[in-house]
Amino acid sequence: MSPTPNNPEEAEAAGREVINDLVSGGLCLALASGLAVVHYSQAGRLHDDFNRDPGPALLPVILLAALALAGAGLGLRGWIALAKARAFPPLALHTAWPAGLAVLLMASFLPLREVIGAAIALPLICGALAVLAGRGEAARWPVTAALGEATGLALYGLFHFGLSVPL
Amino acid sequence: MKKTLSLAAAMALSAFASGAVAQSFPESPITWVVNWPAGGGQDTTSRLVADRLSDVLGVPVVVENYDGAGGLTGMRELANADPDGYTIGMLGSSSIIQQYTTDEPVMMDQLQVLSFFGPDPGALTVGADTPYETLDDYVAAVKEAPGDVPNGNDPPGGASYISAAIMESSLGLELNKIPYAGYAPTVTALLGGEVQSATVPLPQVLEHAASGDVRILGVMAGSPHFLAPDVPTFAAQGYDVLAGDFRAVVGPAGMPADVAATLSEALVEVLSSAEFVEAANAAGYMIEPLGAEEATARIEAFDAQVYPVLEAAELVTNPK
Amino acid sequence: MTQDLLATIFADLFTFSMIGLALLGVVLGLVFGALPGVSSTMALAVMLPFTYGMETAPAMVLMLAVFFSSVYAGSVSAILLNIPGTPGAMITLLDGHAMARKGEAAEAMAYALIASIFGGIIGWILLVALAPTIAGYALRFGSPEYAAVVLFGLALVAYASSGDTLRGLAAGAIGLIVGLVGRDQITDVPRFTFGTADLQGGIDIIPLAIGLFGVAEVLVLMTRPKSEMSEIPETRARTWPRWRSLRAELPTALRASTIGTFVGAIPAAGSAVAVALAYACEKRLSKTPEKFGTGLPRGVVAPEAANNACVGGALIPMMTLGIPGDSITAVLIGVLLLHGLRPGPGLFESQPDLIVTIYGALFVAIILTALVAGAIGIPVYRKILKIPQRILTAAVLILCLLGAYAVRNAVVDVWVAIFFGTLGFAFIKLNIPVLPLAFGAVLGPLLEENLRRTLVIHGDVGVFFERPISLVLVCLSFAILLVPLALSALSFLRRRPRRHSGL
Repeated sequence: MSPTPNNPEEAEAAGREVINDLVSGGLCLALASGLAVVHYSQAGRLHDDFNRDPGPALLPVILLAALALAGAGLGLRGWIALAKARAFPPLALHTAWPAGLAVLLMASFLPLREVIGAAIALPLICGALAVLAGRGEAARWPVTAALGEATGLALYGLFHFGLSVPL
Repeated sequence: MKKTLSLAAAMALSAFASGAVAQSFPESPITWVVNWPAGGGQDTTSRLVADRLSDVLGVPVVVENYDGAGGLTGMRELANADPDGYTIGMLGSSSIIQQYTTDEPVMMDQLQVLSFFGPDPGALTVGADTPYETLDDYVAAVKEAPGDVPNGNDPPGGASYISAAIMESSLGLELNKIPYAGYAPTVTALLGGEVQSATVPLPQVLEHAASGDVRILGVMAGSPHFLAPDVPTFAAQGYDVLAGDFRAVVGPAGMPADVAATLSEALVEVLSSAEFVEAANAAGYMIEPLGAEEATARIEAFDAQVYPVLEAAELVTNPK
Repeated sequence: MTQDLLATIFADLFTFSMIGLALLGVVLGLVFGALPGVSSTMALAVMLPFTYGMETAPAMVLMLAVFFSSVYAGSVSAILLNIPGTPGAMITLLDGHAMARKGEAAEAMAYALIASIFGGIIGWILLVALAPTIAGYALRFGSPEYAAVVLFGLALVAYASSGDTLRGLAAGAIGLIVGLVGRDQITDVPRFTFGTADLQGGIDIIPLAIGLFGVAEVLVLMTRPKSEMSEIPETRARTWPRWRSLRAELPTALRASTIGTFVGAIPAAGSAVAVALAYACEKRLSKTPEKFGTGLPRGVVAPEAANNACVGGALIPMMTLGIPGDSITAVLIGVLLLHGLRPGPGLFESQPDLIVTIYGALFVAIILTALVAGAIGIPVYRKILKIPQRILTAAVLILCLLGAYAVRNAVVDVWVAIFFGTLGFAFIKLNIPVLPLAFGAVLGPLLEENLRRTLVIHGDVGVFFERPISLVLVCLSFAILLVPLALSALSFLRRRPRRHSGL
């Protein structure tokens, strides 16, 4: 974020940082205000007076304030720098799809476990993840899937039988 | 996995007459749920029982630790299990208290009591360099300076907190109850002099009393503790205080009557055997084998005693 | 004592059956400990049923062998896969995994092993020689001192995590808020649990770290364009570091081991605090602090020496006071209880043989870990990187799921790992440091609990300045926090500074 970027690459990197500042500032402010609503609307003993103890409600307020402050600072810094930024990197949200798909696959483990059991769910998910990770590589996908499923089964066996984890 | 197994079991059940299966109970391993991590009192006692229970029943009894949410994770695992007798577990007084003090609690009517394990009575212990030589000294000092004498105990709702609260309400005292996360830090604080007294169960401080670092002033039970027969009860010193933790074995509600009876009988048999009592006593645990009915009555009596204390401490968020 | 100890080690422990048992324990510890989420506690719990039928001495030999070797093995998944299996390994992965990415995985594991053994032996020597003294000091560590040392740790971490101040502050605040989730330790009031029972026990740190470091790293790897996607380079032939470079790490290892033993001896402080203190201390003393995090062997030596010195440290309150310093020693006390023994001050008089056996067994466990891990462990572990990338990636994500669940058999922990994996991914993409979040979540609850307990006992914060230990620590913390802040504020006033952002 030096004031006078010399080449397009540096300018783009500076632009990326400006966007990062704006996005993370916005997220921090949103998180802080959302949690503040949760905190202040909580019933029960949270906001009681506890004599010598400052009480369980004090630290959350301090931390939410710190988070909001950091968020505001980031947003402000981004906003100030926005005017000076010369170039922005192309928004590349679409490149995140493999990560999103991987998260969805992982998240499917718990519901799948309820329906078909972990012994079948884990190899299926592991196979799918292996195919996802190996996309574009020379290896043929059915082979990758089979290898992944075998790995998943082996890991299941290790935790279930070796460590007697109740999966 | 568990679900697929139970599905298979259900299909097998529909094929045969249901009575025939119950008669041959148990025919596969039994899971014993412990709602605290490995190494604690609940875990040690559970393993002592489970090891011998598998000899009596002839199938493995596997201890599984479900730690988390102050013991609630394990209780939910237990309450939500199939009531077929293949999932049982141990609970303590905290599970009774949690019914009234937590969100989404597991209520006792979701569980079925199989047997009583034994009490773990509270005791009052003071540091060796405090001026309190007897219980009388202590009570007089606390009455003189209400809210000033620091007492180490669990966070509100924990067993040693309830013991302190019962002592306060029975004797009209007011302590400065300092919460610690479990018995280990409480005893550390007592030894280090950060608190003057503590209401942890007697086995926790026995060794330190023997070495002269602390003095045990009284036991909150009907009779002296077997590990320290010289320590008098509160009642023997003229103070009417009965408090402490206990342990009981339970399963999910709705178990077939004959399955529950088989388990209950096997448990009482294990708990009554001389070899088991010796091992449990050596580890510091008091044994009082009671069948399902008497155990239920004991738990209800505890419930009736503790609810007003929780109400007075304004801890109840989920009223009866 | 010394003679008894030597006699015990050579006469009783160097028997065929005892060495066999210890060997079995070490091998199992090296396998279990290397699995993420399978902490030493869990490895011990798995072995617990096998000790029922044993005598006390062999049971302790087996358990201590599993204990020590699994603590070392916790560094393996941190270095190879960027998954911290234990809170202590959260720091090891910063430089350890950076070394692995440079193709120096075997060397990193060797540094970790040597540091672990060194830390283990220092911890063992202090345990044998000074246990009652150190236990006495640990008892004087009341709530004010405890709060002060955690504050000191947080200050050091804030200092040690490089990068942008504002983003670090945001990450730290989020971490501390994560630490608030669950029932408050002082009043038992739930906070940020959203009315659910699952969050009442708080967010466990291991699933959090598995997500934040392990899952997030793999997700970033997955989104990399094909052209940039490279296999981890072939491991260099060299495994064992040169003697000269090892000797340069000796002061670091000594400092870290001492910190580890003393912090480990304070009940409930735990290895995370020790490791954070050791790493931050080395970074503060280093002439090239900016190189930490880029694959510096010192960044592996410091946390690993501290982490394993904690083993000896944690045994100190257990042996002398009968108080478990952490969940691992709680299991060991459980073993003793099941054998009808009650650890505590009386054990030294009533069972001196057993004390000597336990000390001897820990020594044998350390030596066997060195031999087995060095001869078999590292060569086998490094084969993990030979697995094709696509299979390894899938296996790591599955391991993260299983490891998170296995910590305490709780379904909610799987969601925690997935959630923090996504959050960590977002942090990396937004160039926000993740370390302040992780340490805020570890240290925040300890700080709040002890600070408020201090207030409940003593009435006001003045007590911090009346007690020598807390006075020194609080002053040091403020110095560490305020001096760089003042400097950066100064340089900001002198027109805009040049910023280097990074993790």
